[in-house]
Amino acid sequence: MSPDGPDALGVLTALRDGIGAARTLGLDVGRAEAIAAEGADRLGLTPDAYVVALVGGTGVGKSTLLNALAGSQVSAAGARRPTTGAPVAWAAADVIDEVKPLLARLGIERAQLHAQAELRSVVIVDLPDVDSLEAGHRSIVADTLPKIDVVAWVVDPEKYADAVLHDDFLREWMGRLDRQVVVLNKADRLDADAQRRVAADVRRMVREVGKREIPVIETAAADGADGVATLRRWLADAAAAKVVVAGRLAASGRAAVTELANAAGVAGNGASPLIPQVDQRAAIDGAIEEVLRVVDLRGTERQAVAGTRAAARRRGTGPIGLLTSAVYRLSGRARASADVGGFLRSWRNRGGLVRATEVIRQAIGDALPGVPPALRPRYAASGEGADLEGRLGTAVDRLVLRHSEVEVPRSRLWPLIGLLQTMNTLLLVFSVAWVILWVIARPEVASYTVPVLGPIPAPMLLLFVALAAGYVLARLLGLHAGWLGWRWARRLSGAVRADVRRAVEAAAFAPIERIEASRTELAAALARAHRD
Amino acid sequence: MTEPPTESGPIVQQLTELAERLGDLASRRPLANHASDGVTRRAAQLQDSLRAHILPRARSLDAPLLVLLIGPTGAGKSSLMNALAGFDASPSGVTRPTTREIVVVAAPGARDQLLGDGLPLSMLAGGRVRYLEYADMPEDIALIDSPDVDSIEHANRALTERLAEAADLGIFVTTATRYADRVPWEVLARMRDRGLPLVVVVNRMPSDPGDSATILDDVQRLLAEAGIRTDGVELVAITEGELDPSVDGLAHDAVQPVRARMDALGADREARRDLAARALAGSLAGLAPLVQRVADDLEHEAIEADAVRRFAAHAFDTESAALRERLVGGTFLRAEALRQWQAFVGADEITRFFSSGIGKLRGTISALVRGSPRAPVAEVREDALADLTALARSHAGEAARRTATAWSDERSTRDLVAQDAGLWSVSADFDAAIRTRLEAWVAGIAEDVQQTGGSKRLLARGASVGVNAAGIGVMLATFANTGGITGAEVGVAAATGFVNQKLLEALFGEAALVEMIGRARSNLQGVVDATFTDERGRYEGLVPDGAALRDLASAMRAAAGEITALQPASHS
Repeated sequence: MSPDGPDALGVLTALRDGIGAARTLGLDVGRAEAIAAEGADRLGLTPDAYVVALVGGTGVGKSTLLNALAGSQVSAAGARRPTTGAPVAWAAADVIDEVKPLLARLGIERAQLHAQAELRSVVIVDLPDVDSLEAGHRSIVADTLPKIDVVAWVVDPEKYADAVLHDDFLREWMGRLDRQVVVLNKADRLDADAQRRVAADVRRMVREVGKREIPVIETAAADGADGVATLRRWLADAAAAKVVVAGRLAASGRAAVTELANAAGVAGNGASPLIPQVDQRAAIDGAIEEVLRVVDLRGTERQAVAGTRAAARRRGTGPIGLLTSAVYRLSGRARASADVGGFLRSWRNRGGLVRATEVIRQAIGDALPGVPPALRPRYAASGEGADLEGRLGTAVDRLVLRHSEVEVPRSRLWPLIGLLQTMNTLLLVFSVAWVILWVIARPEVASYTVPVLGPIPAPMLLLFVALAAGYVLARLLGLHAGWLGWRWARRLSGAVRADVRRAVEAAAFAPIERIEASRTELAAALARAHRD
Repeated sequence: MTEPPTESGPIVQQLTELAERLGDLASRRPLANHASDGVTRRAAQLQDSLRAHILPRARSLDAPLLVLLIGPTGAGKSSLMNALAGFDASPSGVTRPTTREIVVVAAPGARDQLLGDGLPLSMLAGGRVRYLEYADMPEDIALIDSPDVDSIEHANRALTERLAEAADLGIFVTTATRYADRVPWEVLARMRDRGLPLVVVVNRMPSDPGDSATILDDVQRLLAEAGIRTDGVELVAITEGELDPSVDGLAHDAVQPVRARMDALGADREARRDLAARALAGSLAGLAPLVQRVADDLEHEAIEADAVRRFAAHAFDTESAALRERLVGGTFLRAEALRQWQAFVGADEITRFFSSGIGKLRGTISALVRGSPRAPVAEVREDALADLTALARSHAGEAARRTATAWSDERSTRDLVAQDAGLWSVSADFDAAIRTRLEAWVAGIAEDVQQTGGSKRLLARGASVGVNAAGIGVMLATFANTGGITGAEVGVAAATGFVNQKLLEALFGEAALVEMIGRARSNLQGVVDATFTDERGRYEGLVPDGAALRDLASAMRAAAGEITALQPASHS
């Protein structure tokens, strides 16, 4: 810690960051904002003095205590309950001008001045009670406390276990204050043994509520006994005023960030994910399978192979193949069974995404019991059905569009086969013509004898050869196109699968990731607020 | 006024029954509990007042008087108790709160009359009773030391407030420090309303006579402002330090006015009966305003209950409508199953049923040669039911989420959705429940098919299609049959729908088919409605019905009116 005390400005900045993150998480930041605003306000005011308030129930002797400290009548004490109705301040005369803005902030009009050097930087305020029939008193205290730098909680043996003080004040405030003391007043009303037991009980309670050591001073205000001197020492003992103020601002800022962090389920060592990674991955895998079933990879592969074959048929089958592929195209069969792009684009006709989104929603719902209640609305909204379906659907649309633009593969082999096929067709035409001439017309051409290879006349042979070659070429083309198409289909379906994975990964838990980002910011703010 | 108004018997009985109804509602009143502590407290007060005081007191005015010491922590109730009892009965102490159970002191032989089953003390304090007998105690008087009303032990206040309902005489103990504390005055206000005769003791008074007089005046003023009349002995002031160490209590002389009052009561049966009757009359007089306030509470609660129920109703109605819309469209069905179905209904062997000419001939020959193809009944059914379940869960889950989100914004229901994380999504057995219903729905369709087609052409012509297959056809038609599908429409669903419908029309005739599809559709709506009603019921079960609350409120107001009519004005 620096000599100037904790870095109040740093804590308040961290608080601002924390508020920003908490707001995106849908948390209630009203109180934290008030604390941040109060802190900024206080930082700009009177660094050389700080305000100590006496807070307690009616009749515990707050005014008497202040009078004992002052050595003169500052605040009217009395038997009639409640005594003090409006806050009274007690300040050193030579700093009064500087502390006026502080008092104005507290709405205090009456100030008694003193010349005690050791309490020069301390402004003591006697507040009204917290528990009497006068409800207005209690609200004065509640409104003033956020602006108080140091608190002396005043109790007595009768009232130290009252529910009002504990439930509405100690529990609420002890964690948000830095410097504070519990004054067990009227201790002299008990005998020594009882005094010890009561003091021990008060210490136990203070430890329970304050969760740290807070000094307990026993006083007997009426007769100015030792206790009052101890209290005076405790007051005068404080470090420089600005350290005290910085301590208070840092404590309340830290308490506010911690409160926000608790609401977001964020601990000091960071934020453990709301949905365990392992469950997210399982849900993503499940959703991918469901999406792929609608996109239909096997159907896509069939279409790809058929499309490649059709493309090959156009290029590599010669004149007859051209005819058949034209028939295919014109009849619409090509569009129904050999159009990968169209098939992919029409994926929505093959079913809805509900089963895919349900896998994700289930994962979100399963983790909900571990989500802090304040975070649940925002968290659960990230599984909103229509939203999720929309996100996922758009992602699939986009990837499908990308892949449906892909060109069907071609091969240089096909025109070659086409050329051979065309030549072969010519050969076929020639041999048919020859056979017709030879068999039917039988021209008298003595000058030339039909060559005979073994028992078979050449025209016939040529016809068979041409037919066989045509068949072989067509098979060759079919096999090659099938092989090429198959390879392409595998590549395409692999790419679609990978894209679907990317799309699901991006779309499934996107809002959860934003929530996690805000929680991480909040965790960072928490760490920064506590760094000092 | 020594006798209680006997004609009040039936109406008290009736009120007791109303209070029982109120008690039954208690477990379902998270709204009331959060609206304010007062609501639950008043409901309990009403029950306690009836069961622990009015009914037993009306049965017997001679049962021992219950004299209750009541006050803030550290006021010296136990010290006063010990002084009054004359022995070390209730340990006093310096650490707060001291007394955590009730201490009852009575003359020997009264135990059964005090702690018997169903008697006020055992009813209210349960096991937290320490019972002591002491020969010096006046006859038929039980002196009771109660825990505090204002310490961090909140259970203490609850117990003491219940005891205050049953007491016949209250001794309110406060101190010079305490007398203006708010909490004890809240308790006193109730004691005033229920007309409990009261003695006020101010302990730890300053020795300075001036201060002492100031305080006593101020206490008098506060008592007057609160409309509290003390009983017989007015204010008893005890100066700080007036102690009697032999009994661990206050000095005998200091408490003498109170002890004298007790002794007088002990010696005089008529005086006891008179006090008991006054306490009873006070309780009865306090009943009407209490009942009215409870009725107010119930009416406020009804408004809140209606509001939060409306959130649930709106969310579930909206989602149910959205689901209906998507069911009719049929696009949620996945193509795999439909393709299988198309392969079946589009096969030549099946199309012969609705083809003519060459198609019919070809189909008949195929059927002769190959037999009929197997209908993919189980596969299509499984897939369609899984799709339906997922779709319904998605919408029901959305309704649950929206309800829980709305409820988490309401003060009254915030804790409910914070405690039960299950309220943010569908119930755990949603899938199983809707699955059972959907299976019954499919079975119902098959039955319908049998009844419609059994006597007609189905068995004669479509035996090869089978009842179950025809049922699946009708089920699919329920989603796809929008009347306007033509063969030119793309998409497997449309194509399947077309052929499927052709087949079904051939089997059943168009009119019968339309009827059958209509029935299947409305039954499916029934399945959805029943499921959504169950899901919504989870929320409505947590919040009482506004109408029931208003009924109870108006019954209470009627009873309160009758009670008021019975009471002479002097008790108010």
